[in-house]
Amino acid sequence: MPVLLGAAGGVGIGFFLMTLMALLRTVPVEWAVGMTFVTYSLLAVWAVVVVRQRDLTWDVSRGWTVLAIGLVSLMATGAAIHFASGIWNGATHENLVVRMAMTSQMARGDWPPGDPYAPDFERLYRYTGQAWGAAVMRAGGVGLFEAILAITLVSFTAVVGAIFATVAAMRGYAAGFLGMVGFVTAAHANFLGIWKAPIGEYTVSRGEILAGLDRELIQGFTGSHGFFIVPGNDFTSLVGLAAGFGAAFLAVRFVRDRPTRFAAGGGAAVCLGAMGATGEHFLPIAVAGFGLTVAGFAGLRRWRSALMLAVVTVFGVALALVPQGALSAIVTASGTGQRATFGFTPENFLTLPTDAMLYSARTSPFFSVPLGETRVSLADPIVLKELPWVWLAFASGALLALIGRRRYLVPFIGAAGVGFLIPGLFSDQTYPINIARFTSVGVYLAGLLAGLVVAEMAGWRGRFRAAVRALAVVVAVLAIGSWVISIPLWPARIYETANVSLVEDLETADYLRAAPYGRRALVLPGPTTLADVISDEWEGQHKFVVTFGATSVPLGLDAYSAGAWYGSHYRRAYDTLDSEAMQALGIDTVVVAPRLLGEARAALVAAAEANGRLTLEFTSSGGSRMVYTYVPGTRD
Amino acid sequence: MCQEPVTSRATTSVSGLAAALLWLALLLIPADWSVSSVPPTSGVINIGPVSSYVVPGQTILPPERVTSIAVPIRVGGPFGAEVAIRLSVLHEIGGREIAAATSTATSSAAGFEMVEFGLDRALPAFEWSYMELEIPFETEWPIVVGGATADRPEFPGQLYLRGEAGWPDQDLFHQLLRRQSLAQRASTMWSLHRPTFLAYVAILVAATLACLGLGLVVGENQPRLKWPVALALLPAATAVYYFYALL
Repeated sequence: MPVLLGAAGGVGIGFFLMTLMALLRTVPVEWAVGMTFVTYSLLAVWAVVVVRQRDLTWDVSRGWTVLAIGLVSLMATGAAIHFASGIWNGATHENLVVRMAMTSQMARGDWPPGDPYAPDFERLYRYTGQAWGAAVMRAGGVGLFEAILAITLVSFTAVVGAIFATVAAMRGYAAGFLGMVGFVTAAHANFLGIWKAPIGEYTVSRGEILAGLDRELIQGFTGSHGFFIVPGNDFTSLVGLAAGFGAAFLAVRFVRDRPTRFAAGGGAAVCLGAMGATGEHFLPIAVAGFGLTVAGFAGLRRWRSALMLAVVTVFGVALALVPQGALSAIVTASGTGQRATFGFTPENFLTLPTDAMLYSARTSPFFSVPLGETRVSLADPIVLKELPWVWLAFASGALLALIGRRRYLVPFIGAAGVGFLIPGLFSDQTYPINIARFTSVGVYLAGLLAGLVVAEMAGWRGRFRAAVRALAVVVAVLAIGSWVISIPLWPARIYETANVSLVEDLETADYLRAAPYGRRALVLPGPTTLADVISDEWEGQHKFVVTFGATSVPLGLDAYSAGAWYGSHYRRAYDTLDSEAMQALGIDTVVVAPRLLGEARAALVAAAEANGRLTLEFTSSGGSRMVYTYVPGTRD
Repeated sequence: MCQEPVTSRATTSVSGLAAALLWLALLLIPADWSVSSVPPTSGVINIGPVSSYVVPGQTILPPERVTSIAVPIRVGGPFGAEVAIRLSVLHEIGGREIAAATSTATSSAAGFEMVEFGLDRALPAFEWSYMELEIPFETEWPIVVGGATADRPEFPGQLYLRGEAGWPDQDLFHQLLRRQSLAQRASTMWSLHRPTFLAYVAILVAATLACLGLGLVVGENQPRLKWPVALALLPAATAVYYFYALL
């Protein structure tokens, strides 16, 4: 029963996403959403009936049950807080201005959707998770925040459950539980240097400094972070990981459970495909894990298992091309939009990118770092200080696999190892720091490995028992220390809103959303570059226009989707309301925050209003936001 | 056979009592809560030297009642040299005094030192007032106070020198504090920062469950540790963290 319950979420998400995305290829969006929800609602009812008919038992003691419920509740609370803080409190921006902006457009527009920042193009990125959010909004009529919060929590719980189920099916409940805890909570060992954070320097309250350290505690100078802040960064990653661990669980059943072999194998491929389409960067790591397992079976001369798992892997990769998105566009050489280009750069082998690649002056509040160095060796002191448990987990895991004959650890070692090796072999030539996403996945998987290693060492019955158990404690403390220390700091993330005119921003967004879909807005004052978009400047009004208002702001967010063309035209429109630029961009709406306008721009708006180019159509309750219709072709 | 239940009962009672005492201490011992945000330290500039003639001041808008104010002050002269400084809060510039405090600034190697002034009367919330630092005429050491530029949102007011407005984007760096017990703070958070309050409640409930479960798990092999872990681990860890952070 615990294994079945744990796996249900991940497997269900994998199948649901693949069905939805396949239907979106073939039938109108309303039909795709309706058919998927009806099918899976019926399947869920059928599953409940079948489970009740079978005599499944809850074979876990009361203590472990209470501990698991308490811990998972704690983790889910943290996930919800991190997600909410990124939306309402300015803690992060990617969910709000990219993922949820896309979701919002998908919920209103035709399929395939336009890029909210380059509306004549598709944005070929993370379609699948966003499509789920849009489907929930269309089917349930729920708001954007509520829909994505629900998806975040369901996916988070599914990740937790599917990891437990996968490992429990291989090695037992204790390993499953500790593996899950390791994956979710392991992070950089910044707590070792918390004393070096600037406590007491310009504040009399240590609490004030600690409250500002929450996210910093579980991310590092080595361009990566622990899994726990993923809900606040990018909900689609959670969705992809849930499907990925659904695939892992089914792959285990496929290899071990003869009666359900073919169903499990096909299901594993479907979930693997859904994962790849949701988070492209998970696919090579998952393939490496599966590939190592295939190699392991071949080494053990279990040819049938090796062949069948290889077929499942290839089939899963092929299925990842079914949903629209970056992977299918690469294979079909679609001319829609621009994509990241990867280079093979073996000269960086065994190095990791650092945050200095993004911010030249970025430093760590906890440890001394090599200033200005964009790459560091895996054996660099900063790596050993931030991620000492990763080395310990790899070394202990390898020893346990070799000497202790715990062969099931090999795929986990391999997958985590690939996560750390990819940034040293390949580079993202559009946004170099993006290759650090693989380091982050390596950290999550190394956390899972650390949990397994701790489980094995804690139950060690061989020689050096005391030393092995002491090492288990050291690995556990180093891996989860920062997460434990961060727990009391989570609520500080939602202490104050970042938007002083939040109510009026939401009124304006509601107004824009109620209008026919397809409006394109100039936001005054507002962002003109990517750096501006992901800031809290101008009270963050642009985020609410584009995301909650489902209105395009055609500024060309970044290097993808003709960003330079949009950027230059938008800048002209922004500076002078240039009619040629406005018409080229198709702008029909101007959203203004009158109290934030400078004198020059206020005069520009007044002049445009006077000569009929701008017509006021909406004013928020406090007068902080105004929406104008732009009338092209009138006299300048 | 008879001793086990007695030991168990004693352990349970001691654990329960310790937990109750720790929760009571957490709820009732007052601490200074920062009620204004502090910007990054890299933005601090020198303002001064200030003196009994060049009086530094700042308009302030407390987001809730304030019982003390901290200001970064640097005293020149040999390390350890002390200067008694009075902070007065006026209804408006040149207006009547509504609160005051005296504290001692000390010269140290660190440079700026946050000097906390415990006010004799609490400042009301959401009412503009003006604070200024009174440096004794007879002070023999140069004194500099910390300032901030760029019109930081943490400081909604403005810097004044000798009663005259300074550059509009400059502020006297300061931190507003409120002395409250956790029980009182919980009520304040419920009315002013409800999401934070609810988040703490959710965390507390989940952590209590987790600790109870951990106690039961540990108790399977070590019965004597069952209730200490189940009952006392969470309040003990919370107390260490809370008092380290706020006292």
